[in-house]
Amino acid sequence: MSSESSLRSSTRLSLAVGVSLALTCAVLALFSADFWGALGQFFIAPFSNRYFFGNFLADAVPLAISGLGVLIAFRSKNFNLGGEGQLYSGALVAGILALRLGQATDPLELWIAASVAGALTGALIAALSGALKAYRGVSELISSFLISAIVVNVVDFFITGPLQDPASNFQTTRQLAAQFLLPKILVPSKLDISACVALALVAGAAVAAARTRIGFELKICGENEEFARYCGISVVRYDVGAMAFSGALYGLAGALLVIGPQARVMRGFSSGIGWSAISVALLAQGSELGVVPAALFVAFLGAGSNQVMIGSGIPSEIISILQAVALFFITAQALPRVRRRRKA
Amino acid sequence: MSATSLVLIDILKYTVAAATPLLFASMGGLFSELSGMLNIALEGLMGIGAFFGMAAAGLSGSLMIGALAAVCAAVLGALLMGSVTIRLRANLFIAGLAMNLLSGGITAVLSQWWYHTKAVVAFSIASPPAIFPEFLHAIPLIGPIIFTQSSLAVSSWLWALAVAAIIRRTRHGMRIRATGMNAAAVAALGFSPDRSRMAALIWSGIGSGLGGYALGLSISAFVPNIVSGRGWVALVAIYLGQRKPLWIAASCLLFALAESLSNYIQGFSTIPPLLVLALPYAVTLISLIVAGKKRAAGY
Amino acid sequence: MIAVRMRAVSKRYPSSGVVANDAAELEVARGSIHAIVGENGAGKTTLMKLLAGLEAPDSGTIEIDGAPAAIESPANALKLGIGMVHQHFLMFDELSAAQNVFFGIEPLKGRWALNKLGVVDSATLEDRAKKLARAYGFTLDPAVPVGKLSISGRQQVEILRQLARDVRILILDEPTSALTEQETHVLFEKLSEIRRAGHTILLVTHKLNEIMRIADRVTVMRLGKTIGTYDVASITESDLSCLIMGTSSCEDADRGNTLRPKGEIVFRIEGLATRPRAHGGLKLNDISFDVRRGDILGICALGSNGLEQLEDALSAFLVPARGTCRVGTRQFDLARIRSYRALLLSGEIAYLPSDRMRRGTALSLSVRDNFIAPSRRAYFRRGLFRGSSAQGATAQAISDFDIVARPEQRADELSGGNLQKLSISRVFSLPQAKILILCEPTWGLDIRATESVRERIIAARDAGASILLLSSDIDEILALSDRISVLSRGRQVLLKEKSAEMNRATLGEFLLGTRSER
Repeated sequence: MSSESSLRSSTRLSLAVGVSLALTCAVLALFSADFWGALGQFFIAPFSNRYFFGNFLADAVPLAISGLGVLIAFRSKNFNLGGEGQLYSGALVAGILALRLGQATDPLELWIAASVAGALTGALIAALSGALKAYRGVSELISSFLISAIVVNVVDFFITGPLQDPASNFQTTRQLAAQFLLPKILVPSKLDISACVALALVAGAAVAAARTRIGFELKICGENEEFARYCGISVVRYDVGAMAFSGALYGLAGALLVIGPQARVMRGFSSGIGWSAISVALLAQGSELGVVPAALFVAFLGAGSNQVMIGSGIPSEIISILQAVALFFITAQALPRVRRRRKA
Repeated sequence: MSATSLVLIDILKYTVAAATPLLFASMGGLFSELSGMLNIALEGLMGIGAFFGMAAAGLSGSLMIGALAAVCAAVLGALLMGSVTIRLRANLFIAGLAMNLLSGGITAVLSQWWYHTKAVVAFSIASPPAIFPEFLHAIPLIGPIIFTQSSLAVSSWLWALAVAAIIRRTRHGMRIRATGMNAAAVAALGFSPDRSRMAALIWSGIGSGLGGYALGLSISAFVPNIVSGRGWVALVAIYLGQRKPLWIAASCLLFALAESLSNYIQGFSTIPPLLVLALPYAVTLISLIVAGKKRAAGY
Repeated sequence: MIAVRMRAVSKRYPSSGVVANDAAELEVARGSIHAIVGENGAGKTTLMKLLAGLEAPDSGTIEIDGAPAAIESPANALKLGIGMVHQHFLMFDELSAAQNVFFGIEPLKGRWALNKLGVVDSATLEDRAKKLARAYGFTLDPAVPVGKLSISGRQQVEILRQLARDVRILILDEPTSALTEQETHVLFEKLSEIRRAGHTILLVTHKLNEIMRIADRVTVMRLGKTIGTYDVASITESDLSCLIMGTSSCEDADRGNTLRPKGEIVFRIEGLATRPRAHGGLKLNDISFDVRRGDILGICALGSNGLEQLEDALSAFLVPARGTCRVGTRQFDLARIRSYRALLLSGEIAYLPSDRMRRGTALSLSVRDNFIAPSRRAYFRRGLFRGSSAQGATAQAISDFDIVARPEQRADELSGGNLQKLSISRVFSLPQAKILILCEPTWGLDIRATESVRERIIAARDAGASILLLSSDIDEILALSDRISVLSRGRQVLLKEKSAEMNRATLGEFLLGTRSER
């Protein structure tokens, strides 16, 4: 990395973070009756006790896992816009499997089975987009979005139809028994050991990217496709593979949510995580390890927004505004990292 | 008339009405697509149009002022996106994503601030006036389906015609199309592709703004999820219609039909309404696959 | 009347350090067809780019119609009546021919409202297009979308586009490179019409017979300098050939031919043919050759005569329509590219691409990553990266090949010449490769580096490698090859042992398409 470009990227990052935080203060000043109170709610309350702090960390977990997947896909210039569907369907498949297995197995096997099932579901769906790009020239951005839209409707259908929990007033599947849920770390919050899974994945991905042949080849595919072909790298394999990997992580994140804090698959429970994961990947600026602070930042914005909603009545949707502004700053001149449209 | 044919007529009538916002948005979005930009912010721009349009109409009591406000707000959004993308060389997709997020956030926050609710904000605004004289309603078939439509629906078709004329017959439209075909040539011939792109984004702002406004008027209210994916449907209609105005209009009708059917089918449990909603996306995907160029497999 | 006068014009491209024009001179009479001729790299296209406002000269003066002019942009040039028809046409495929010709200057309908709205009067548009075409003897259907036209049709649209903008000085850059004989004939008829109407035409080309046919005067350039300007009527083709090649006398030069024992055939290509990339474009026809052990086969061609296509076909970047490759006893069908690709990747063949920037380098990666990429397997033992051996190998290559770089530097910080050396170092660091395909190996290198690379090529040959050399540099081909083949217009016009009678002049005739032995 030349010193010049890394300076620019850190400037962009600090601008993005700085401006969104400044904007937060401005919104709070405008809309809250008690500015300092609101400020405290946003910035301090998330850290104020185990419950809030743990929940804030727990929210970062699916963001980190999915964001990692999106980052890897970006590396090879693939844009996975189907995260919502991949995560949702991964969650459903994992949930169904867990409910079915139920009493028959011990919890650890159940967790592994559910996680694998969720990841596979997400991988297959995303890989479909990758294959359509490789063999039919269909933009993976559009196809992943379309497939996701279809999948979300299909999953909704199953949840509200055949899989609906007859005993519940909500649109949801039946609930998993408590002993099958992932063990919690920071009681009374919802944080569980999936946080360790997230950290392990991030560390593993960082090592793999820097030190394995696959990581090296993926890097080349993303930098110069013609050179990759010259070196004998199958760009198609990496296109499909990167999409599949990113889908797998989305599906895994969904599965972990179901066998963790959710304990069931409620309609729309994960709405928005798919898009936030893209923000996380962009804020991470191409670094796997950067996914962790990026996820924490986005989760923090969400936690703060929730606190001011409870405390000052400001709509929690301000997080959308904050994320949007951060994205605008991050993406300005983000040329080397993400693909620009061919004709632009 | 038999009960089934009444139901059918009702469905078709609703279809034409439901196509109105889609027509507005997709025809506007056609400009950006023709200039070579995949604009995924139609959804967010529609939301902005809906909110500010309804707010202005409610405040002023005038439908026209509402329309103006809807257009201005959405165009501002498009300008923001355009400046970041074109001047600051940002990534178009991410800027679009950010726009969608921004739209949801701003409308929710303002809704809370001005109307003290994040849920339904009802407006007591007169519905768009009927435009066809009453006696035409009696004509069999097309009477109830077409001549009962409001001026809003009719405007959307006029808009579609206007867009088709602009892109085919005016210098401005040709330049936008040329930018999408060969931006380098446009620059070499002394014109600015960036200006054409910005103009194209502004057009999509106008269309999305009107489309969102139409949605608001159809329920005389603003709700947080009022757009509900229709912006994406509009984008998809552009692709399904292979960028030709006539086909795009047909695609809008197709999606509107799906929406109508899924509303009706609520009563009958044979075909799940959710699956019917997914149908348009599936159709588009299949058409993209079929139309796709077979790449030399391997490598 | 002198339409164009360029004096002492120089242009150097800082990124590659190449001096494209070195105090070049040009004088063109009004209402004439003036050809500018020279080998690749002679500076003809650059000189025209300066005239058309696409580049600015470092020094020198330009006068148009006797008045000094500073041509800062294509728009400027247009105001002076200068327009250029490029080799890659600026076409809008889905718009009609008339719309393309009058792009930006379409006639508008009506006087008030419609006019302000910019509504185009399509009837007048097509009418004007027809009239314009007829005035110069073009047959043009104004309503046809340009994407459906052949290359010659598109070229006509491009020329009409310039004429529609009142261009008086029309520049054509290699206009016949993708045309058939018949189409060339038609083009020349049009050019005569245009000249008759009083326009001045500048023709950049290396096709001697065409110059003799159509041009009034010709300017010869070599190595960025102007050699001279001559009346076509008073010069012969062979004189012209000599002037272009730079042989002062066209005597046969004794090349000191070294006869060596012929090794067995290691690599053979038979009947290679490709489909044209674009509608009406160039295609390769029936190319066959073999490469022997300890032998260098040099394939030479000028400009767009098929060398790039041959390179792409041999490197599996282009799937040929037909062709067979034999290596030893194994046979590969080139049309079914898979097995041939596997051969390329097996390490038996080392390929040096001509486009080192795009195909040979990932500019945003480090020098070390670029160096090890094609042979990366050796640097990942049991899945993990062996940084020290990669670093060591890169450092070794840097010192062996005199590359000014550090392994951890980003590749795009290197100068063009050093990037070339990096690519070359990769190819010569693969000891197991017995077949080398080297494309333009010394392009962009200074004298010292060129010499050292040539020495390595000879040394590899002497050590038993079979080398295929693709180059548009005639001197290089002559210096290194044991056998020489020439491509012209996609066909092989020569394949022979290098002999005493082969020199720049004779090779030039094959290259320029005036002579063929197949």
